[in-house]
Order: sequence, then C-alpha cells, then structure tokens
Amino acid sequence: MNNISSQRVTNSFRGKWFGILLFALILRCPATAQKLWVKELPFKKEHEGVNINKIYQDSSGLLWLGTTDGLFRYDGNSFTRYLLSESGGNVVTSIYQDRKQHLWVGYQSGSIAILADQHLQWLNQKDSLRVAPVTDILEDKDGIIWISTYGEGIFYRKNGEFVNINLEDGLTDNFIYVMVEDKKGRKWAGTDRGIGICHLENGIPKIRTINVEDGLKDNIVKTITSDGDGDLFIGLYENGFCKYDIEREAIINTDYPSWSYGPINHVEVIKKNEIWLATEREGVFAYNFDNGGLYRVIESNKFKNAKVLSLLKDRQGGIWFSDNFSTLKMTDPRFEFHVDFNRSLQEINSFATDTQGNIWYASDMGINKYDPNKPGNKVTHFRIPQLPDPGKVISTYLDDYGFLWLGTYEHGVFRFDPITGILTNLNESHGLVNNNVLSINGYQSDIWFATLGGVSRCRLTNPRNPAEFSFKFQNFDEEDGLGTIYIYQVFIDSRGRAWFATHGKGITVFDNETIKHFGAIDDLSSNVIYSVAEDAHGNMWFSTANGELYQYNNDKFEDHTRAIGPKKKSILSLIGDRYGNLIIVFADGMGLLDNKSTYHDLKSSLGTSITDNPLNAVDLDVHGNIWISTQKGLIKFDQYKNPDEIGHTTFIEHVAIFFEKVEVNPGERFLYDQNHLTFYCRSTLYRHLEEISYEYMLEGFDLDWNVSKDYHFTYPKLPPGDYSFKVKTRLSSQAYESNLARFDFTIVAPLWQRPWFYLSVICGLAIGLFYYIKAREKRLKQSERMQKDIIEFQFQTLKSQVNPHFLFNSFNTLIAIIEENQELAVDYVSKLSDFFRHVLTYRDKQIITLKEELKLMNDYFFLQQKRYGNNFSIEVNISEKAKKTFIPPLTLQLLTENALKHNVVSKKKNLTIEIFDRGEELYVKNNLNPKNPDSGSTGFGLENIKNRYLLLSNKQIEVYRSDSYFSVIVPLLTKIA
Amino acid sequence: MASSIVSFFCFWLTLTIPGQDTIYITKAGKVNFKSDAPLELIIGFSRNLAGVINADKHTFAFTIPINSFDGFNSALQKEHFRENYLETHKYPDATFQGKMIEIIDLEQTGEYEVRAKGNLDIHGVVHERIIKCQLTVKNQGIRVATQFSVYLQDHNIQIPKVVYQKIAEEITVEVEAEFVKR
Repeated sequence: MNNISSQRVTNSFRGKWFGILLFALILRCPATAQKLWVKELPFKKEHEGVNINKIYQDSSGLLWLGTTDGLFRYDGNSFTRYLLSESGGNVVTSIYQDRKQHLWVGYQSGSIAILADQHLQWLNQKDSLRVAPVTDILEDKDGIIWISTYGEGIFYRKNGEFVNINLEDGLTDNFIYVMVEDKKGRKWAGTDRGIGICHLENGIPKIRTINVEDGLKDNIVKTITSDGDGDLFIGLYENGFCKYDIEREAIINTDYPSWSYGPINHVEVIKKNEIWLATEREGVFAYNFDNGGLYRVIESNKFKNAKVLSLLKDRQGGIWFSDNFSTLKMTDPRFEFHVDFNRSLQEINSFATDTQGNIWYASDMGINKYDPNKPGNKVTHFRIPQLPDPGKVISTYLDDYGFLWLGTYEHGVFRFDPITGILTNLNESHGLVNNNVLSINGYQSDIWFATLGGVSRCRLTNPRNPAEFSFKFQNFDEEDGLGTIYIYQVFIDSRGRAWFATHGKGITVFDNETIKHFGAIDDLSSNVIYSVAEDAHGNMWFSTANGELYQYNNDKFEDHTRAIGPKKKSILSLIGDRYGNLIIVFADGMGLLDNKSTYHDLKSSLGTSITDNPLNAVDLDVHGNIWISTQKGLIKFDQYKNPDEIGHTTFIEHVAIFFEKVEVNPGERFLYDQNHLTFYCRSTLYRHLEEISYEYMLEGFDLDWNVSKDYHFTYPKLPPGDYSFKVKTRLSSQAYESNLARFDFTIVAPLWQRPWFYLSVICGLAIGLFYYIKAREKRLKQSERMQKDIIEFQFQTLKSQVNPHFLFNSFNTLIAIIEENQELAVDYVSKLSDFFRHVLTYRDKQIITLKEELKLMNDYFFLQQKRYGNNFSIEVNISEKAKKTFIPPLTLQLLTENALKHNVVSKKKNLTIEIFDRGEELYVKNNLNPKNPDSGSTGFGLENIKNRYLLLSNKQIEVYRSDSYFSVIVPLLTKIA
Repeated sequence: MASSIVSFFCFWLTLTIPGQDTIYITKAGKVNFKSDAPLELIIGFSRNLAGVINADKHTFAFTIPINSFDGFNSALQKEHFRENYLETHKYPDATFQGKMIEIIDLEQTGEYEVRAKGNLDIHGVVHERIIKCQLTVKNQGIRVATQFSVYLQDHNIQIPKVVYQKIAEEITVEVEAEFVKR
C-alpha cells in the first residue's frame, strides 16, 4: 500500500511531503500472526476432515501419509489413497519400510498390512489377531519384525508367529506410545511408567526399565527418536525432553529447569544435536544441544486447539508437519527464520552484518547486536541515550574499521564505536549534504551517504585514533550531475565505483572522480531506481519501482524484466550471493535469478508472502548467508545449504500411449501402432518442485539431453526400434543432480517389416520354387519316359505286326483263299490292308475309343479267323456306353495276339476269347490250352499295356490266371487330357 | 437418567467384582464448567457426579448426566446446550474412566498430585486424556479436585457460526468430589 503511494511521487512533490511519504514506505504496517516460511500443501483442500497421523519417507524418497482415512502416497503432484477395507477401519497409526522395501502399515484397529504391487495385503485379517492400535513397526538389526501396540504391549515375529511381551514379562506398561531401536539393537518402548528397553537374548526377551529414579524427568514417555548415531531423544509428557547417550548409557538433561510448553508428542532430529519438538498445545520448538538455544519455529493456533500430529525431516532437509485440522505443511531448510520472543528482530528498517556474522541494528531498545549462533539470549542491547529515537534509524553500515554508522531522519548520521561505546553525530553542520540519510555505504576510509539532499562522501583520516581522527565531506547534488537530489541507495562496487539509485533520474555512477548519469534518455526506460547490487561476476543490477530489472555488464544495459516472469510489483531489494545468483526481494515475495539467467520463484518455498518489507534491508554475511529483514523477523537464506540434497530421487511415474495411462514394465514391447508415448516423471525434491529442471533423453531417438521445466515428455510417431528413456532432475542448473531414472522399451516393427518375416517369405518362395522345379522335372521325366515307351511300343507294334511270321501266315491264308474264293481273298487283303492302316493311324495316339479298338480287333480277328477257322472265336459283349470310353490303342489286339500265341488252337482245343465290360472295366478272358512247350514269351504285350496305363492314369490292369482261364481286366478310361 | 444409573452401575461392577479391593465412592461430586468467549461468559454447574476409585488397582470411573447441569444465562441457552450442542437425548452422560499413573497409597493421610489417564467420553466422542488431580486423603476419605479443559472440536461438538463469539472453543471444567470408603 505504501509502496504504491510512493510510486506516485513525482518531482512536483518537494521537501517534507516527499520525506513523509518515503518515511511511510520504510515504516510498515504492524505484523500479523501469519507464519512466514511454511508452505501448505493442498491436502486439506482435497481431503477436508482427514487428519495425517504419520508422515513417512521411504527409501526412494516418496512420502507416505498415514491418515484417519487410509494410506496416501504423495508424489509431489497428487495424493493417491490406498484403502485396506472399503468398510472403514482405515485409520493408519504407523508406517514402516523394511529392508526388502516392503511398506508396513499399522492401523488403529490393530490391523497390519503390507503394500505390495500397489495393493494393501492384510497380514492379520482374523479379528483375534487384531488386538490394539499399532503404534510402531520396525525391523531390527537381526531382521526380526517388532510391533508395538497401545494396550497389548510389544510383539515380535518368531518363525512366522507373533510373540507377545507385556506387563507380565516385566514390561513397564502395555500401552506403548512409541518404539525405536537403538544402535545396540535394543528396542525402546515409551510408556506411562517409563521406558522399557527390550532385547532378545538367545531368543528370550530381556527387559530393563528407565524411569524417574534413573533421572528421567517424567515417567510418561510420549516419544523417542534415534538419530541413528548413538543418541536418543526422549520427549516427555511433563518437564520437557532429554537426550540419552547410548555410548555412556546416561541420560543428559537440558538446562531448561521449567519447561512450560506442555507434553511433547514428537521429536525429530534435524541435524546433529539439533532437534525439533512438536508439543501438544504450543506448536513446534527447535532446540540445539550445542548452544542450548530453544526457539519456537511453528506457532500453534491455540484458540482452535491445533496440535501437531506428525513431524518429519525429509532427506532433502525439508521439514514436514501435519496437524489435527487436516493440514500438511512443509518448510524449506534454505530459509531460516529468526525471531526472538521480545520481537526486537521484527520490523528492522536496516541492519549490517559484521565480520563475525553478527547483525547490528537499531531499535527502540537502542543499538543491538544479534548473534545468530549464540546460545540462549542472542541479542545484546547497547543503551545509547544520546541517540534520538533509535527505532527510526533508517540506514545502517559497518565500516572497515568496525564502526557502526546509523543514518537517521532529520538528525544526520551517527557513528558508533562498539568497543568504546562512543557515539559521534555528523550532520549538516559538519558538512553533510542533508540530515535525512537513506543509505550508507563505503570502502575503506571513504564513507558515502545517500540523502534527500544529494550525496555526501566523507573521507576519514586516522579513524581508529580518536586524537588524530578527522573527516572531510565532499557533497554532490543536481548541479554536479546527479540529476536529482533524492537518492535511495548508494552502492560501492568491487571496483570502487559508487552507484546511486535516484528517484526520477535513473542510475548514476561516480567513477574516477567523475559522475556519469544513465537515465531514461539512455537505456533505462524507468527512472525511479530502488536498488543497486553487484553479482559475483561483477555485473551490476538495478531494479525500478515499476518492477523492472536491468543488468549492466560494464558495457551496456540489458533488460531482464522478462526473465523474472510476469510483471511484479516493486522490487524492493537486490543482492548478489557468492555463487553468482541474484536474490530479488519483491513487495510480495522473493526470487532467485541464477547465473544462467533462469529465474526461480521462491515465493511458494517461503509459504505466505513477504509483505511490505523495508527498502534494501538485505545483507550478505561473512558466511555467505543472505539476510533479509521482514516485518516478521529476519530471514536467513542460503541457496546451497543442505549437502544431503544430493539424495533426491527422480522416477518415471507412469507411461502413457496416446495419453492413455498404461501398465508397463521396463523392457516393454510396444506394437508398431503404439508408438506415441508420454513419460510422466516425478522428483522427490518436494520443496523445490517449481525450481526443478528435468533433463531427459530418449536414447535411440534424441541425440542429446533436453532440458525442460515440464514433468511429462511426449514422443509421437516413434519408428520401430530399441529405446531407453532416461531422466534426471537438477536444481538451479547447478549442483544436486539426481539419480538417473530409465525405462527401456522396444517398439516392435509391424509383421511385414520384421527380418524373420522377410526371411520366411524368401524361404517359402525358395521352397516353392524348389518343389515346382522338382515337380516339373518329374513331369518332364515322366513324359520323356512315356515318349520313350510310346516309341518303343510303336516300334514293337510295328515289329510285331510286320513280323514275318504274321505276314507269312497271312500270305499262306491268302493263297489258300485265293484259290477257293477270289472274292473272299480280295476281302481278306482289304482287311489286312485296313488293319495295317489302322495300326499306322493309331500308333501315334495315346488312347482311342473302345469302339475304334473293337473295329481294329475285328479286322485282326477276321484275319486270324481265316487261318484258324471255327477253332478260334471271339465273343464280344460290350455295352453301348462302354464303347464310348477310351482305351490305349491295340490293347485288345495285343491281348488277342497273346492268347493266340500262348494257346493251342485246334479242332479239339478251341480258343474262345470273351470280351465284355463290367462297370468301368473291360474283361478279356480266354480259355487256357497252353502250348507245350510254350513258344516263349517276351512279355512285351502285357508289360506294354501295363506301362501305358501307368502313364495314362492311376488305374492298373489286373491279370488273373487259373487252370482253365486266363483273364485280363483292363480299366476303361474316361477322356483324359 | 435411567441409562446413567445403568452405566454407572456397570462401572461399579467392573471395579467392585473382585470383592476384596478397597473402594471409595462419591455420589454428589461437584462439576462446574466455564465458557469464556469474547462476547459471553457462560457458567454451568452440577452436583450429580458419581465416581468410584479402586485404591488397590489404582483405577477410577466417573459419570455425570449432562442434563444435570444448571446455571447458564438463559433457559433457551440451557436448552440449546442440552439439545443442540451436546445432544443429551443421544448422549446423556459424560464419563471418564481409566487408571492413575502415579501409584500412591490412598490409605496414607496426605496431599498428593496424581495424573489420571483415561478415556473422556463427551458427546459420544472418546478422547484419551491425562488429567492432573489433587488428592487429599484424610479420615477414611479422599477429596479429589481438578481443573482441565475440554475442546469442542475434540468431541465433535458443533457450534453454529453465529455464536462463535459467544461460546469458547475451550471449555474449562472444575471437579471437586469427596470420596468415602465403601
């Protein structure tokens, strides 16, 4: 509000008015009770009424929340719930991850479950096994699972059975608040009657008790925490807390004689010898065993009975806590918030840090020194009656000689010597240009003052020697080239140049005893400069009242306003850290511009906003911490605080195909049409989620790493192949690189693109070709053989038909006929000629009709019958249908000839050949009167017929021979090709 | 009222059945409560606290009918208290039973401070509490006095927003009872 009014100030405002407005800017509204540096997570928003009893971080860095309504997993983005039972009984009271990475969950109902494959598996579903609320689960050094309950003592698992240790075994009580294991493997159980320390000796439980008689300040032990390194921290119902040293076996009580903050419900070890204590009603306290410092870090809303239920320091140093109003909050360890109980650290207008890391500031109490590392009361007051209105000191500077310079409104400047306590006033009467000193800075013996009347340089002589001390002012105003006399800040850079942030005239630099002015006419578009800073690389930075940010690299100005995101309200302060980052304090937050010009908003890390801070109330101390004064106290910020930050984990949460989430395992094979993949990644750097950059690469596709602030990465249209998706996170492009998460997968080529497919196709073709060639060869061979057979047959037929014996017989017959019957002789000769002609005609043919064959056979019969007369007869009985079928030519003639050849044909022994058809077969049957001795058979006739049938069809001729008959069954062929 | 007698009888039984133990009882203990809200101070009181202490087992039980509370600033307020806020038709009694953490000899005359740990049941919501009590043992009797707070939120007692400024979130309760040996 005040800032806005100051922005409206123009040059027409003069003198007092301007001073009052400026003064209003520096003094702010009273503090509210809001806590500053805690970030609330959206758990309450989504699960109102559900309280988080337990916050647990597993070995991968994931956070688990045990709530009154189930187990939740928090991956930095969303809360995923796991219910044990749909019908209630989901109040989680304990969570533990064993060494096999199994997550154990204990319930108020007494149920115990293990999370496996994203499902809770009930270990003791039987009612009789669920006895009392499970307060703690742990796996001891020997791998034995121990369970503490609230009502039934302790159980440990032996051979798969749970064995009970309770009051009867000598345990202090059956109601166990907490159970932890110490370095020696003993289990410590906190109860209402002290601590029961158990261990197994040869399988038998041994119990020792620690209570008030041993020096414990109360018997009710509500919490015990091990730092894993030999110290146990014990929180009591009354009288506070203590430490137990395992090595020395001794209780170490603290110096707090009267603890008045009520029961301690949880102790969390923050670092060696520093613990945080969650109290029942009073919020959270931090206690340091080294310096005895105790301070409240988290206020409790007592009016609403707010209780901290769980407290956890995660591996990145963030501290998480939950309360009974469904709240889940987190702090950022880079920030330390310094308050003290008498509120003197609040609303400091200006301060300066000394070479020991102390902070000097003036307040209503006088001049104060705050030692952040001092035990107990950290503030030392110096009461200086001569200093008028110390609460209104508006500028502070510690010079190189150890003097504290305090700039005031209307009283000039005071020099304070912390050693002697002497205060010296220098004002207009001593030569100071103006009595309203807004900013002081210096280098060695030159001290610069920025005032409402220009700039003064005070050159000191013998500053540490009061006798010879002298000073000389040199003043600069509008006429000397400042442009204006209203100067907000003077800043001496590492090269000894003095920079002036002016109201209305931009930036002015004093270098080599000359003033150079950069104003709106130069590179700066705005001319109300609030702040000047130098980064570790020697670049100068300037901020304007309009929220603009400029860099001057000693050559030219560059506008960096866009780098810091959407237009902000006023930038109040700038300061460079020793790593090269620039810290920017806004009217409503804070941010960091790293040395790669990437901006990181720290507002959400801070939790609620910083509001109405004084101008330029920032400083860098000797340890490299940045201190920022706010109305709620001092903030200490160290960007690279926690070295254990290295322990964060990046993981691939799930994979999606065409943006649809799928269940996959590494090594997954995706089909060729599932080649649109999205990888959703997470980091366990919970408190830096806004500051994380993901570096990712798809091996097999990307050639180099990509950097993105986005947490999901999509690869459309991936060609088939083997891939490996790799992702890691880093912070501020600096240190803290995480592990590498990877997901290997294959996109399978479509069937027709796979090598084996080509191979099999080629093989198939080859085999086909092979068989084709083979078959063709066979066919060729066959036809060749047939050709040969035919030729042989033709030759044999011709040979047989023209065999001289046949001709001789025929001619003899003819001679006989010629004499008896000339007419018949002519007929005979014509039949003989017909027969030969037919033989010649048919010998080229493979088949002829049975009718033609019969005609041929008749001719032959006619010729033979003339020779044998009635002693030889042929009875033909062929159906008309059969006459249309086919038969190899000369088959019947051959068979007839055979019959004549092998049988006696005489008056007594007639030869009768019967030819008839039965179905598709032709029977040629003759009575047997074998010649004795047989004239010998070449076997040519039958063999020839057989071969020809083999070539023509799959049918075969059959030959039967009995004592009286010889018959040949010849298949009749239908037309074949 | 009937059910309160029954429940009290139940406590009685659980505490007395063993027979041999030393039992102290009270039937007219005093309970006062105070709601100190920014806009209104409400005070209620009752003399109907019944209680049992088992001196040997160091256990105890108390019960009080909510409807026995009187006081308030108006009859309407009393009715709201009974019907709307504490729903006495559903939850007629408030009870507290448990054990004493400090083991003291209640036969021995003297003044003691003990912490009583038990389940406080108000409005049907049970909350485990540890309550510090002053015990004065003399003449075969025990005087019990204590003061503690009850948070409305702990016991799911819903107050309409309009009366937020008139009813405190935290109610102070004072108990005073004379126990006699049975």
